[in-house]
Amino acid sequence: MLKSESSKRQAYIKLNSFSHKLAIRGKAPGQIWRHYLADNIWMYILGGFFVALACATQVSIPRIMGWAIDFLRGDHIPSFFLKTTKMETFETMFLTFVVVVLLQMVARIGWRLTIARQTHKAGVELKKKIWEKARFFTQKDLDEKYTVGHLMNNSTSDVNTARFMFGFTLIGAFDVLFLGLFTLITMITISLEMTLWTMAVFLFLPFAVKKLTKIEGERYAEAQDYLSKFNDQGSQAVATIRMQRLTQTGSFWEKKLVSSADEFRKRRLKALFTSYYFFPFTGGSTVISYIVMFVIGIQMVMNGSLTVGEFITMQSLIYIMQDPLAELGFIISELQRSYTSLERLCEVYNRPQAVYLKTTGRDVKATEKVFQLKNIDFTYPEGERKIIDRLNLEINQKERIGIIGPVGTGKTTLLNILSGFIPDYQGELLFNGRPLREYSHPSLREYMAIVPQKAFLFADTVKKNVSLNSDMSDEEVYHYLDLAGLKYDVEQFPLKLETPLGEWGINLSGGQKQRLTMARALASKPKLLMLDDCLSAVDTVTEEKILTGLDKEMKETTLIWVAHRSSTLKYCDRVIEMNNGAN
Amino acid sequence: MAQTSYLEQDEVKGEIRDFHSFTYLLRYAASEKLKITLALILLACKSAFDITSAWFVGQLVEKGLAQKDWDITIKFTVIIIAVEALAVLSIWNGRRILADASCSFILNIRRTLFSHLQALPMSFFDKQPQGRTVTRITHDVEGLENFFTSSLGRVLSASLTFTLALIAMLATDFSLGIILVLSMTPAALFTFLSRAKIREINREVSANTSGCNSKLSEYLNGLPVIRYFALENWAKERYDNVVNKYKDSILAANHYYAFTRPPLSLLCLFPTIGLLYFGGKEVLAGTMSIGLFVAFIRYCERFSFPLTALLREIHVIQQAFTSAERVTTFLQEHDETDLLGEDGKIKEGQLKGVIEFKNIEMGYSEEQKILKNVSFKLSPGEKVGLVGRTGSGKTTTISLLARLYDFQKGDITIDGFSIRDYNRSFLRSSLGFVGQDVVIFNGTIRENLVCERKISDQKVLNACEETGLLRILKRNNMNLDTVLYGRGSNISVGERQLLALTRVLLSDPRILVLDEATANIDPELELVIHHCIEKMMKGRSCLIIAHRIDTLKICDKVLTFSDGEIIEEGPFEQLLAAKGVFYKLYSHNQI
Repeated sequence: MLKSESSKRQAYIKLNSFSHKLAIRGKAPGQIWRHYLADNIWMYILGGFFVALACATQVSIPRIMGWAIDFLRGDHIPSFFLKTTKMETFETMFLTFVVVVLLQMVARIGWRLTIARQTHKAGVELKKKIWEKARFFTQKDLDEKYTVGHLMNNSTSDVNTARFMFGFTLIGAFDVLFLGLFTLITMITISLEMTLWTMAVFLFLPFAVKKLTKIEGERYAEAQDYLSKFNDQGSQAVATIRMQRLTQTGSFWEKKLVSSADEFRKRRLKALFTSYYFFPFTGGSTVISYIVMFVIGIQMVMNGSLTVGEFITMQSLIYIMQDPLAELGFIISELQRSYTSLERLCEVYNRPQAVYLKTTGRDVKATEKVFQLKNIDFTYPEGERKIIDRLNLEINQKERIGIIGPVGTGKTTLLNILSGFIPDYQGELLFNGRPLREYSHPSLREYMAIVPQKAFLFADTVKKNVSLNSDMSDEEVYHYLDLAGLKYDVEQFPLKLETPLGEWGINLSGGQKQRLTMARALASKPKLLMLDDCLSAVDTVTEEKILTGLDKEMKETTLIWVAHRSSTLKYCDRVIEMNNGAN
Repeated sequence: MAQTSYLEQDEVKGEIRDFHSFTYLLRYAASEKLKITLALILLACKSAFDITSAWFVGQLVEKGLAQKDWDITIKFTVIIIAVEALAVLSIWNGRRILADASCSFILNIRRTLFSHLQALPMSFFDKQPQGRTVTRITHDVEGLENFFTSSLGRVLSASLTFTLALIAMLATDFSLGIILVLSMTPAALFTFLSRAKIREINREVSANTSGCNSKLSEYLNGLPVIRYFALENWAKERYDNVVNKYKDSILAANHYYAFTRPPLSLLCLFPTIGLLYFGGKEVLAGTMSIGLFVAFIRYCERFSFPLTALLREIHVIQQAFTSAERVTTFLQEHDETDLLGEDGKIKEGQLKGVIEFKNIEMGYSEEQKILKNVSFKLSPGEKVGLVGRTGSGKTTTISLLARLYDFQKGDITIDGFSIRDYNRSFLRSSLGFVGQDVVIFNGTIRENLVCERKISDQKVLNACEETGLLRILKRNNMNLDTVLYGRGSNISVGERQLLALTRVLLSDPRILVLDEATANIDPELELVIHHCIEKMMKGRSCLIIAHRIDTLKICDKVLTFSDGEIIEEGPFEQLLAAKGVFYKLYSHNQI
């Protein structure tokens, strides 16, 4: 058992130094992007080739149709189609057409399997890296800047947008480049004059599209923002339905929800209307280009410098040309959004982490004096008064210390200092004879366990919640559940130890949650156990049972116990009353 | 992932299938009939204009350009440009009007859903996870909303263009038209066959996406625990596993689409290929004019492009059907009236507060009885305390009084009338209920206190003064206009409780029900709240459930519950002296 634990710890240190190496990479968003592209350069080159091929075929299709019309009318066509009979010539043209269509399919399969695939792969990397970094964030960052909502937003909406520049946007860019180029070349070979005229008309398109996309994006984001607030309101309405009914506030809620729904409708409609401006924009540009084409093209057909087939081809090509130009606008704004998201992700990736969690330190060697506190002071950074003022305390091996005192007197803070989670205290704090700060995070955790006030359970089975990362037999798990007074409850569940917890599993009562958290801490076989008022929701009869059990089982364990009810502390050797912060 | 298993379950359930649920929901579009009709006409116009333009291009080539006839050329040119412009105008306006109508339609559905939420019986909410109900009123409506506000326009437009192009082709050259239509069958067949697979793939991806999200939010919320046990790497490995599963599914989707989408596009080109071959041969043989051939090329585009779009949109349509089905099923859940019977007639007057439970038996099923033969009586102004361990039936007793559930045997009377004879809203508003949780909505303190009632500010302030809320508000620099955030995150638990008490006081009920009203209160406000409660109890009939048995000393009598029965009844001191169950509960409470 002990051996496996120490190897676990080594693996921990190894993994951390590895992640540290990754942290050096990727300072700026541009760097991350370039590195990623460089690592997968062949995929991108191959993908680029396929996009080019797809564009070439896309331009060829109307071109061949145009030649077919010319041929059928008896006009001049390129000589490589010409065969001895008319029928043979026609069949050659037809076969060429079929080959081009097949090539187009191959090219499209090709870019999907290369560049498009990279989008998803990059997205996965970006997603993984968020948690890799966030797990070491300082508590202050997690409370203030990188809240759960913030990081969740990073992991969903930002990753979703940022990944585009690793794939989809590039496809678009290649597409614009090649399709634009090929279309332009084909158009020029037909008629330089008409090409120049139409291009002149189309030039405004990318700018207009870019602008419109930006406004559209903003309006959608606004509507989406409102929607998430509205949805939150909806889930509150469901969560409080019983209270609403008992206090007759239901119809008031209903009105609130309906008015929010109406507000959301207005916002969504506004966003939709904005995106509909694309109809007059692109449609309008088609109409204008047709005017240009007809005015100039018809003259040219009339005076014989353009064949009818060429005229029809031109019409199709102008239609095609609109796409890359409009797309250019989309791509620019997509790139902007993608880059902004990647920038936000980089903030997460480059954020300084809590040093005490990652530095390698000494292992704990048990001595007689577990804690020696000399003049410990602590003030929260934004707080004015000292929450802990000149605290002197010694705690010996196997001693049981109780801590009581009113709310806000620093009981939980003290536990956090003792357990090493608040490293910025003043004064001297020795743990087993050495300064607490010298120990490594994993070795401290192995030595001690903490049961917090607020129970947290993983969305996993009862058993997993007790055993966590170690292997444990059912008997062992039941042993700890029994100690925490939860064995009977678990045996009543249909699936017993395999009962899933969490919103979609069974819902435990507050007291059951606390007892399970207690069992989890006991199962880690700590030499030092800190309990932070962790039985507040457990009824007194059950509490008594737990206390006698603990008293018997934990003879070898040092105990520090914070409690509200003094009844809880009756098995303690010493009780400390905290009160200085209260004044 | 567990979430999807629920979603899947739902699909199997429900009597109304696919199309029926869609038509069921259409009743909520009744008010938008006019707009929808107008939008449809405009969209149809756009499709017609498209076809007309294609026909005129053919005419332009054949009669104008080929003959080098200036007049006809100019005439057709002008017509084509005008038609194209009209097409742009009709689709723009058509889509705008359609979106407007769809948004109102969805608003109607939301409105119905919210009122249904209030009409559903409490037992409905007990039976299923909150998440599912939340999904119904959020995610599923959004599914409908996305379809109606964005896909529907495209789908309608595409189907109309497609149909018109089809008619145009058949009318121009029937046999060639038939060949071209038949050449679309492989594409349609292909889509039909891949339908189930696409659905499966999409479901897999979305299940894994939400799997990633819930894992991340779980670990972020549990980060303190992760640190307590140095589980950072364990959690990283497990998260990576979940993300890898997502990766596998999204790459599988990419793979599937890579090998199906391009072939589908190829199949959609079949009409064009067929046209070139058969049409070309006909032109060569002289049985078809070149103008017709050109027109056919354009028809073909207008036939196969929208069809391709429709085929691609098919899974969106499928999803909308699923959403519709879920919303419809939810709307057809039985409401309180179905469960509790017709609402009672008594809906006005001031109650005196005589409450009597007569041999009440209540259970959610035959085997599981929650209350067995519960009887007790309260005279006006009397105070009774309910004690017992969790699950002994205290809360159920109170819920029955508020008609949240029905009971099987016995009767409950208030002022001599069965509570079944009371109008449920009237009954509930006549009870002053204060629980452990307080419902706070995002709004001003005034709104939160007054709710829908019409009460003057002076009255509100008087009530605040009486409960002690006024003093707390002043201390916090708040007033009636201060906005409270949803869930009441900007006031403390004790302040919220004072607010709830003030809210109750404003309706001046004769019966007061306190369910753990003083649990979890910050010590600072504990005294204020106790004081306030004591004041409010005067002259009112009270039912009190309290975790801390001490607080029940003021009661006239105490009922001890065990396994759904009242096993001890009597004044506080008397029960204590009897050294029974009550004494045991009390003494553990005291140590």
